[in-house]
Amino acid sequence: MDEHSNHDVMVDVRNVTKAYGNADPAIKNINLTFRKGEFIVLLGPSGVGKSTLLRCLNFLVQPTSGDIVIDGEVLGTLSKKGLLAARHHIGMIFQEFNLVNRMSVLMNVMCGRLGTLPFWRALTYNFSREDHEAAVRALIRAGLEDPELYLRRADTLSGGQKQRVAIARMMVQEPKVILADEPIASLDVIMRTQIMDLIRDIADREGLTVVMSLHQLDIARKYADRVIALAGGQVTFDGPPTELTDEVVERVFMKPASAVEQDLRAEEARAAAEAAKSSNEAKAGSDND
Amino acid sequence: MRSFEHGLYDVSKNNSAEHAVTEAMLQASSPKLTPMRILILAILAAIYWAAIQGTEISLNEIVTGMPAIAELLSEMFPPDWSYLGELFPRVIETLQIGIIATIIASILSLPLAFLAAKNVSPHPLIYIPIRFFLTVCRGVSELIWALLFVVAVGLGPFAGVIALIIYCVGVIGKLLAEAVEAVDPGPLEAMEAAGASRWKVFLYGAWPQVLPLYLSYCLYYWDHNTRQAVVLGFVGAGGVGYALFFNISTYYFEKAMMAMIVLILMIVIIDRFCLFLRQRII
Amino acid sequence: MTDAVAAGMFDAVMEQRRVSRRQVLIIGSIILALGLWSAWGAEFNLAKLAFGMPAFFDLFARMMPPDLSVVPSLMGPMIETLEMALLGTTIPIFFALPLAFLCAVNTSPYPIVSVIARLLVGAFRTVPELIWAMVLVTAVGLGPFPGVIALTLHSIGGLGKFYYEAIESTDPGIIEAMEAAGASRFKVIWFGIMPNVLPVMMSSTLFYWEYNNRASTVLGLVGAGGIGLALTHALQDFRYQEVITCLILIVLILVVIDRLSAFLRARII
Repeated sequence: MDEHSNHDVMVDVRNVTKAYGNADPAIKNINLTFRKGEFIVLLGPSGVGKSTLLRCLNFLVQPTSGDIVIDGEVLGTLSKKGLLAARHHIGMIFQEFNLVNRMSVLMNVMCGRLGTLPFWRALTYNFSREDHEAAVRALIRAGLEDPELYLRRADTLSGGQKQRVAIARMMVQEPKVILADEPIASLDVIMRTQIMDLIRDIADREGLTVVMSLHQLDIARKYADRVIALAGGQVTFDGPPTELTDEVVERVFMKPASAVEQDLRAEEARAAAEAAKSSNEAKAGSDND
Repeated sequence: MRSFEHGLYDVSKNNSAEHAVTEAMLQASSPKLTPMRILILAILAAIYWAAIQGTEISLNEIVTGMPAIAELLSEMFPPDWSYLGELFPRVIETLQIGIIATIIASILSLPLAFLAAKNVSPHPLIYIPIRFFLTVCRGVSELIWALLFVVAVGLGPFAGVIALIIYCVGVIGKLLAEAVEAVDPGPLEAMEAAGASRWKVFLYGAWPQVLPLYLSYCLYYWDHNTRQAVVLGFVGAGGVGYALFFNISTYYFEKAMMAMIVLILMIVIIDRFCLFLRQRII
Repeated sequence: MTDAVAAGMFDAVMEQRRVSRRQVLIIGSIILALGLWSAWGAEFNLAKLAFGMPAFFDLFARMMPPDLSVVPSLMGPMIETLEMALLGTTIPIFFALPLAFLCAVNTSPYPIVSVIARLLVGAFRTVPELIWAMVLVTAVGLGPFPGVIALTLHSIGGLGKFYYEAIESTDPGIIEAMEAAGASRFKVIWFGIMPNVLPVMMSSTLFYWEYNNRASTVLGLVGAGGIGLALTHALQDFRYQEVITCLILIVLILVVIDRLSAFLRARII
């Protein structure tokens, strides 16, 4: 698709710069457009500005200059209320899952609809029947089919399960765009593939645009339609994964491709150990129930 | 003695690598007397010395004062059991002061804590003055607030209640605000990203984390307020405290002792009750 | 199938809500009833407060502007107050610590010892320091000395309770392991328990230091020295502008102590 029709553009990043305080800008003069249904991966080691760019897309971080246009709405010109409404159409998942530990899984998922929950219902934690049903459907879609899980506290789940809950929370928003900040960094290898497959599946079926930041090269190659690499706050590569040569990789990660491979293996081993530990804790916790 | 010749205890087999590691561990774990630390210790010692001088502590005085204390104690025993009847309404009064003060303070401190927490407060221009207000409430002791409010509402338990409320709001407000600030920011970010307004972010992201702490503080300060209600008897704020102070100043020591015993019993019971509640709720 | 599960889930959650809502309602009603009864007994009367405020503001007006000329003469009493608090917090440590080990069920030699020790700690803690001060002033005279003793006695109880709660919350696994390895009781305490409870103890001690600073400002009201005594004298002589100066200084002390305590807490714990 070489021609861009305006109806097709979902995310438009117009000359965005973000500097924190008086420091050097974290991202500088970024110009990008993402079309509907594209699966974008922001690639690069930590610190290059992936997180900042991602958070600018829903204005969790306000750009110092430039505009962000989501589905035709210029975020910078919206009122506070308007921004909240716009965010409703943008779902986000995080590396640390960001669930509320003491709340039940079901309620965590329903929090995706907080934006549209009326005042009195919000005050008394009283979601509607429709909200409950949407939450259950989302959980099943996210691969958590055992209803016994739904009423348990969120901190009794394993890492992979927690991320599924987070995905379900995002789905009840019925978003048009999915933002993902290192969603698999805290998961082990098997879980990673499952979660990535899940996200890809959801995005394909609903025709959603995905913008995901990753530093796992192999995952990026496998799932992305388009890879955008950042270095020093600017775009140094923009193209399909097939164009990711060793030379490009070296430029992006600032070390030879083989070293990058090694790092990834080591990190996978670490993540596996961590995931095993946390699932043991979760099991112990549920045993004590 | 054989074991000393072989193996474990054989020091002559000085394994130099092991030796080096052990030396390093000893070095790391023993406190180092750097010049800075010596200076700090010296300053502390000086402050301490000045304090002892300034407050005129002397073991000598304690010794010479002993007979007076002994005489005092003898006058306190046996306690006057007939006084129990008069004490009962006083006990009820003290409990009431503690309860109403804690209830009102618990309710008032919630919105104030919300506004005084850096991460959820609408604006720095709100959070800074409120923080200061809470500090003033805490800074002035309950007794002094009570003295001041006696001017407004006269002698009696009401002045005490107001004083307790003001102080308690200051304390719980500060503790709660700090708890809200220490909350895991992750869930808050997620709620924000989903499009929830500020107060919703607080209610669903921060409040569940803070609730058990809040209940714990309220229970702790119920105990504290009941005890302080006694002290406020000093300003005529009624209750067991008033009985205690009155009797001490009029030298009715057996009655004072009775009041003291009742007081201790009351607090012990409340303590137990609080412990029980704490286990049920948290 | 999904919709049936979903509907079933909603009903289950609603049932749960109904039960907990009932509980909340019951507890809420109890608290409301207690509140109303207490308010009546404590002579709580908002109208009285409203009518009394003019008198309050009149008093406040008489306190303005604060009399700053007395500040130099208040320096001495202020330092006295701080010294009382310092000694009243540090001296009790020597008594509270061993007492705490006797109170804690996992370090006490016999259960009966634990019970008696706890009663003792409770007694020391419950009697307000003001009462201790009043009694001691009768015995040893006016001045900061009875104040220090009063604070010490009260703090033995207060610190003791915090300490033994910390000791009891030690992971029993550590104690078991050390005892199994044949360590004496003392070693179990020193190497097994102390490292774990030390941070909590220091935190509690700092908390009590803050508390004692506030308490020592008040002890002066019964003649036990410090800035409280100066405030009482000013109040008795109707020198209201001096009273407010004392109050301002008291708040200042608290703010400084608060900051210092937070700083120490960050550095040491």
